[in-house]
Amino acid sequence: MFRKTLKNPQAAAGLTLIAIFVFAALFAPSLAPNDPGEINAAAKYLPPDGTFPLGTDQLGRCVFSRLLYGARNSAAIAFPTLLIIGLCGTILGSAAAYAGGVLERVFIVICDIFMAFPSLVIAISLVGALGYGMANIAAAVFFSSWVWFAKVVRTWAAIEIGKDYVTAAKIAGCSGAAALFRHIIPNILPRCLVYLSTGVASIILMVSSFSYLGLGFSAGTPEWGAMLNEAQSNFYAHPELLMYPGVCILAAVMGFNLFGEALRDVVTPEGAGQ
Amino acid sequence: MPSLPRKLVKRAAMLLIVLTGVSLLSFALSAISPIDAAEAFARRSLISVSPEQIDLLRVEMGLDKPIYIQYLKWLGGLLRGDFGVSLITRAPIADDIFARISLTLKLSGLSLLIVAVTSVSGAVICAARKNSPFDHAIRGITVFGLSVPNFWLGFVLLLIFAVKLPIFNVIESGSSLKALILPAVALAIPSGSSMTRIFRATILSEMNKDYVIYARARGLSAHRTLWMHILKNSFPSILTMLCQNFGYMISSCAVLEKIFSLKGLGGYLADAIIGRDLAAVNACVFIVALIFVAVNTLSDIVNARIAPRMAGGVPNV
Repeated sequence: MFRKTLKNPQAAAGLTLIAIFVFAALFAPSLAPNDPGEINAAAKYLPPDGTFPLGTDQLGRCVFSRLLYGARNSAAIAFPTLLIIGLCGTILGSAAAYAGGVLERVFIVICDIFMAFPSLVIAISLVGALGYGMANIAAAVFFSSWVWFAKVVRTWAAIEIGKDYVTAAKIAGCSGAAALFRHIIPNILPRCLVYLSTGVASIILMVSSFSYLGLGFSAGTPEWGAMLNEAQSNFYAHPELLMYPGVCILAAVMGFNLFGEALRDVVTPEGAGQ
Repeated sequence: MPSLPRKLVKRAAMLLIVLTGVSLLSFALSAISPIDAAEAFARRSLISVSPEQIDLLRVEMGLDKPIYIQYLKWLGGLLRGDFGVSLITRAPIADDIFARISLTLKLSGLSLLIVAVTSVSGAVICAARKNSPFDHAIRGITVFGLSVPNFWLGFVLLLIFAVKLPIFNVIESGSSLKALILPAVALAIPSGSSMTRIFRATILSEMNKDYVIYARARGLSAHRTLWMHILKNSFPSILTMLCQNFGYMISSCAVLEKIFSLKGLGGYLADAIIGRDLAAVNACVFIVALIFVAVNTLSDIVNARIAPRMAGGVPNV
C-alpha cells in the first residue's frame, strides 16, 4: 500500500509539502535567522535582505523566522489533537455501531447536537473559560470536530458489522471487544487514516482561523492566523505581510489534502465514497 | 415502513431533542466561563463600579440564580419569542437578530447558489469526461479551493477587486447585491470545491449501476442517460449535502462579515461572545442551530417526496 502511494505523483507532491512543513516545525529554532519575538522599532517594514530573508513586519520582527515558528505552533496543536480525535472517534464510533439499539441512538443524537453547534462558539467559550494556551485551543478543536469523525466511523463500522465475516467471527466464539478490535477496526482503519490525513488540513485551517480572530494564543505569538490578524490593519500599504502567512497556511493544508486524497485513491480504488 | 404522519412526529421529536441539547450545551459553556457577565457589563457601562453595584446588577440580570433556574426562565421566554435584552445594544435580542439575520441569510443563500451551480455542473462534466484534461484541471483547482483559508481569500479578493482593479468598493454601503458578491465568493470557494469532488464521486458511483447499462442498452444516448437518469438518481444525496453545507455556511459567515464590514448575525454573535453578552450568545446559537436543523429536515422531506424508496434519509456513505 505504501509503495503504491509513493509512486503516485499527487502523493509525492503532497508528501513534499508535508515534509517541508514538518521540517520547518521541527527545526524552527535552528533554521530561523533571527529571534521571532525580537522587536526593533527602527527596522519596521524592511524589504527583504541578507539578515531578514522576507523583510520585517510592523514591529520590526523578522517575518521569515516568525513563519518558521508559526509552522511549529500549528504542528504542535494539529498532531496531538488529531491523535486524540482519531483514538476517541474510532473507538466511540465503532463501539456505538457495535452496541446498536438505544446506545447507538443516543450516540447519534449527541453527534447531531454537536454538529448543529457552530464550532466557533465552542472554541470561544472554551478559550474564554480555560484561558489562552495551546492545550486549550487543542481542547476547543477537539470538542468541535471529534463528532464529525466519530459519526463517519460509526457508519463505516455499521456497514462492516453487517458483513458475513463478523457473523462468522461471532459464531467462532469471538467476544464483543475482540470482534471490535481484531476484526472491525482493522478493516475500517485504512479509511480512518485517509480521513485523518485530510483532518490535519482542517485542523490547521481551524486553528489559524481561531487565532486570526484573536482567540487562543497570547499576543505576539508567531502563529500564521495571528500574523494575518496583525497584518490586516496595514493591508493597503503592506499587502505582502498578508500574503506570506496566507501562502504558508495554503501550502501546509494543501500538502495534507493532496496526500490524503492520493491515499484515498489507493485505499478505495473505485474513487467511490466520500 | 411507518406511515408518513408517524414519521413526521418522530422527526419533530428528534428536532426538539437536538435543539434542547444545543441550548443546554450553550448554557453549560457559558456556566463554565470564569468571566462574570455582571461584572463585565458593569465595567463597560459605568466608569467606576463598587462590588455592591455589581451584586445588584447580578440580581437584576437574574445571574445570581442557579443555572437551571436561568435555563428554565430562558426557555419560558423563548416560547413567547422573547430572548431578553442585549447588554451591548440594549435592544431586545429578538429585534437585533431579526434586523441582522436577513443579511446573513442573503449572504449564505447567494453563496449556496454559487456552490450549487458551479459544483453540480463541474461535477457532471468531470464525471462524463473522467480522466480528461478538464477533469484533472478541476481536480487541481478544487484541491486549491479546499485548502485556502476563507478569511485570507476574503482579503485577497478585496485586494484584487477593490484595490488593484476598483470594480468594488472596499466598504459597500448597505446590503445590496454588489456588497455581497465578494464575501459570497470567498465563502463559496472552499465549500464549492468539496461539493464538486463529492458530487463527482456520487455521479461516478451511480454510473456503475445496472439501470445505467439498461438505459444505454435501450438505446438512450450517453448524454440523455446522464442528465435524465444519473443526475435524477444522484439528486437526493446532492440536495442533502447542499443543505448541510448551508447550515455550515451560516455559522462560518462571522469572519467574512468582519472582513467585509457587513452587519450580519455572525458578527453579532462574535461581538456578543467577546462582550460576554450571554443572553445574546444563547439566542444566536439557538437560531443558527434552528436554521441548520430546519434546512436538513427540509431536504429530508423533499427527498422523501421525490425518492420514496430512500425515505429513511440518504445513507451516509
